[in-house]
Amino acid sequence: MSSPRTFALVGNPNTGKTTLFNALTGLRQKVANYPGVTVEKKTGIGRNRHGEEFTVIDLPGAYSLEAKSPDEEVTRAVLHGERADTPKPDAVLCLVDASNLERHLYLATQVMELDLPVIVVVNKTDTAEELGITVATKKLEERLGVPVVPMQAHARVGMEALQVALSAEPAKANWKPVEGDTAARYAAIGKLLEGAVAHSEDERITPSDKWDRVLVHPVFGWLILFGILGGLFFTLFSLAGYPMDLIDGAFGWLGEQVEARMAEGDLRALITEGIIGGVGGVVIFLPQILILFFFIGLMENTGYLARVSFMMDRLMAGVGLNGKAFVPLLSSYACAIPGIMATRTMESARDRLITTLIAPITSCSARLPVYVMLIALMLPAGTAGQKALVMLGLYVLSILGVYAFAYVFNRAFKQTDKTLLVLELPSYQRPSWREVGMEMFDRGKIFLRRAGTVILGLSIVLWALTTYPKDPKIEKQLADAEAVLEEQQQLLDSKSTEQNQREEAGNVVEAKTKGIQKLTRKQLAHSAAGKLGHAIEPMIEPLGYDWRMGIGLVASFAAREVFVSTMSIVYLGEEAEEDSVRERMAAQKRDDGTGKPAYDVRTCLSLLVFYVFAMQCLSTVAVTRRETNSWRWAILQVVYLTGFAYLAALATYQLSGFFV
Amino acid sequence: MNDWQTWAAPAVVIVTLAILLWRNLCPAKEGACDEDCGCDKSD
Amino acid sequence: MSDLHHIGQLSEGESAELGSVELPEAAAERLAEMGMLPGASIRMIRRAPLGCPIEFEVGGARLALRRADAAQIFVQ
Repeated sequence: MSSPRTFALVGNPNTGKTTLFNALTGLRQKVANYPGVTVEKKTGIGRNRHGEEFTVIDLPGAYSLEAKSPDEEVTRAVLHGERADTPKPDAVLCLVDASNLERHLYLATQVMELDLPVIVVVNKTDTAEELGITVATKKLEERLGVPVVPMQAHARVGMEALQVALSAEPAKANWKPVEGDTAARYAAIGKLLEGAVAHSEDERITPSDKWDRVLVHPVFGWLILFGILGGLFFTLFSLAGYPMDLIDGAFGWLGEQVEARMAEGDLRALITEGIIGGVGGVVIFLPQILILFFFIGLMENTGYLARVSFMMDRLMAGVGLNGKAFVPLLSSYACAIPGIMATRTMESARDRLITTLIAPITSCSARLPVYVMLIALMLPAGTAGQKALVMLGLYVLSILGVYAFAYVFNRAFKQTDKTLLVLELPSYQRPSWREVGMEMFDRGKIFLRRAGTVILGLSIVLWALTTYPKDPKIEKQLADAEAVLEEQQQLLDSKSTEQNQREEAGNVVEAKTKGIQKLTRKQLAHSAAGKLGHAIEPMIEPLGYDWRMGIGLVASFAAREVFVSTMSIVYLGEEAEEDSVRERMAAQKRDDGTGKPAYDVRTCLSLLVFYVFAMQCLSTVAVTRRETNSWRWAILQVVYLTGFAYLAALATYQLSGFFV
Repeated sequence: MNDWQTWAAPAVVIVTLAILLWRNLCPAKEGACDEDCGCDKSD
Repeated sequence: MSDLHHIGQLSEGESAELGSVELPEAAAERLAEMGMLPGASIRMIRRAPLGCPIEFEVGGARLALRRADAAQIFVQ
């Protein structure tokens, strides 16, 4: 065959591999997982000068084939043809950075010893020039006997030369395998580069350094970082509201359409409440996910993200985490799902695991509707300032929780060997909006698909739990009441009705509507969820809850935001305006006959504390299971978090009895 | 109350449960890739 | 010459020649692969605002190491 079908793209992390990959494959990319490990598999299709297609596999970044992380292990295994799911590539594109040729050639020379044809791409020649480094690529080409292509992948400079190399007959490198250790290899590399690389004498201050002087400054660095984070949170929690409202409206409209075209019945309820309600509840978070990945993508693309880890490392080291855990945990404040996915950038499996286990403690945005509702109940006469203070307290509580459990897990999981933190700080570069956009789009797709499939299924199941079993007597009563209602409604709508008839019809409509609400509530109590609520009542009484709240707790185990809509059904028997639900709940009295309100300060506080800690998001459990490749940790997450939530809420309720 | 809906809804629920359990308890069925890929075994 | 012992003691902008690395095998190898070999030149760039980690320049790349690890990397 004249030109290879499959190229593997290898190089150090942060080399601009992704940029080259995008340049070669454009939009024809696929992201998947290597089975058995949580390492991303990126493949794409490119076209050479003959018009033939070839495949490119973007192998995970590696510093050496002596693998020290799961990422490097995959790269090593694929190049050796050891992975059943990925055949050995036909040739390898070795990407090296012109400003640090020796270090990058360490991996490249290892690859050359693998008996595979090689093309060497010397990237970032512009940055090298700024540093006063010139590389005689032609000389290297002669010495190695393989194409050595200078390139600036960012600016798409050098692509034609690369295409020539890709379309030609592949060649194996003229490289003698190195015997010995790292020092020996570097010595051999030094000989290879003799006379081919020139460094200018003067000490140059790179543009990156100028940026770092400000961005990592002891004072300005922090101000800028908090400014950026503040901007992120502001966007997430206020600006995102606009698209979120749009999505909410769209799903609402969809529900109305179904209601207009379908007769009343179980299936219609399943579709409107279960499916549309359930899926809508997840899709509404899409704007936040996209915004989050936009910010993170931008920070990573420019090289700023490494500086963030650099600055935050000290704060995380105290509890056994490292700076790279900061961004996943920060992301989890919007939603733990992308946060846990972001732990892939951490090399240590142990660190990844700990971060994944504590990520759900961060108060994600799904909790916001619950917080808002409960705080309003807790402080009905409170000012906005007081309410904000409580909200802040909840966030502080979650931060303390994150640190505390990080500490606990750090002690629990003994470290087999001290992991070394080597953080590479790449030079800054102009953001590629295209790359950031593509990444955003990809992540959004994955979020929708993952959360959507699981939540869709669970919403349906949840709906079933709150609907079945039905009491046939109540069903009959409901059917009768509805028939009367429709009859009277028709009278009201018709023009020929007389005034006194109209009045009477109006009264009947009102009474029947109330009656139907009451019957629906009774039906709910009769359902599986209702029975469950009653069953757990003795367990949750010490926390200040009754069986109605129990239903809310049970229902929101799939997803927290379900609590709000469930409470609406519990207290009104139907989807209603939040204000009317809140009124109802505020008016609810305790079952113990004392006439005291059910939702007093103590109970509300206890509920809030419960929601801070409880693991109530089956999508997150699903992601944890997927990212850790086992059920063990996912189950641990549910158990330890919910168990702690129970104890914390219990303590809150009981102890607050002394103060309130 | 519509009669056909009264049994259609539970049918959907049961099918959904079946799918959920099958996907989570028999991952081997999913083949070499994860649900992430738009997997077509073309190459 | 100042009497330095390890790279954590370098001041901002100061360069030195690397000596031995007293870290567990895997860690030492990783550092060696990244260019931190005896005889290589290393320059201290800055400390993080909270004092740790420390940014160094080795062979054209910027690497940050924790103080505890830097204390085990000696200069000649």
